Amino acid sequence: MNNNIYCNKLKAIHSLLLNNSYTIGSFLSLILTIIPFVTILHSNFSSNYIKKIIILCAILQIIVHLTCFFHIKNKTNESFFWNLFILLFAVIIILIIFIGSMFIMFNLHYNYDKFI
Amino acid sequence: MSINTSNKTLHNFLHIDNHSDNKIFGFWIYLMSDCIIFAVLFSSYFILYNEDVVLLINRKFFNINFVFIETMILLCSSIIYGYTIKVINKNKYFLFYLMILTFLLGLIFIIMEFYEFNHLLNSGVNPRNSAFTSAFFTIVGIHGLHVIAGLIWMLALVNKIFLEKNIKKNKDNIVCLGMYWHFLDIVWIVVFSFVYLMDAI
Repeated sequence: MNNNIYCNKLKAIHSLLLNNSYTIGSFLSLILTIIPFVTILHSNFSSNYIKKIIILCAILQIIVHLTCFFHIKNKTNESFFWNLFILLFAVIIILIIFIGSMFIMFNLHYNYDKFI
Repeated sequence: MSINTSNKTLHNFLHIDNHSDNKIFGFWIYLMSDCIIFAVLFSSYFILYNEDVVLLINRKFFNINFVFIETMILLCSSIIYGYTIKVINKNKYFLFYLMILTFLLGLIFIIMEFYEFNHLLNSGVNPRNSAFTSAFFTIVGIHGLHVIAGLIWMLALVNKIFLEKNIKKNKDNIVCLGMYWHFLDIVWIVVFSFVYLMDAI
């Protein structure tokens, strides 16, 4: 009897680890964290190339987190649509804030004095 | 039986049956507005990046290996919390242990961050040095405050689950905390790659 319970528990753990996209996502996120760190420490690439690798890995990591870890997918269709809508709204606001402030602050009038 | 059916029609009429969906939707709106706060902090960091006078020559004032270990600990804690959500309907004690493990890993992260801040302040990197260092300390410190708030929430939730013995009541709470924790993980990964790794090249 006791043995049977343990067997069931093992089966539950086994199915938890293997039968979902979650485990794939966690492995991917671990790998995507390790890649830029290793390239910085043990590679001879030029710094521009390494910067591109870092940015690419960060963006991929965010996508993996959003698709595999957030539980916005397995709800009803309507709520998924609204969640996606809010996400898009936030992304647009963030892009406006980020690109706009970069554009303004690096094109100020006193910055032109440095180049003249 | 008749009471049940009348209840159902009432629920359909008032749209109460997707109550938990609404809760999660509201929390999602909170997370996105929090995301905008972090975006503002990041843009100020990148603008102030070249405004530094004191540390302009030496940007590598942190130990990258230490920060990498910190990152891995937070990532592991986030991953373990994800399995907690999978386990909600199955085994109460498994859920309990997983949540405590997540809490301990988060606590280790916070302790390491305090140690790092202490080390930086002792070695002469103050937020008072320049605009760049104050932006750096603001980003990392506000992320740390979020993690502390999440840890307090997690402790309260563990206590509630332990006392109430009814997990289904707290299901939305557990899911919301999971979203919060994953969100903090995303923010830390962006901090790690754009603040720490970019300077470590």
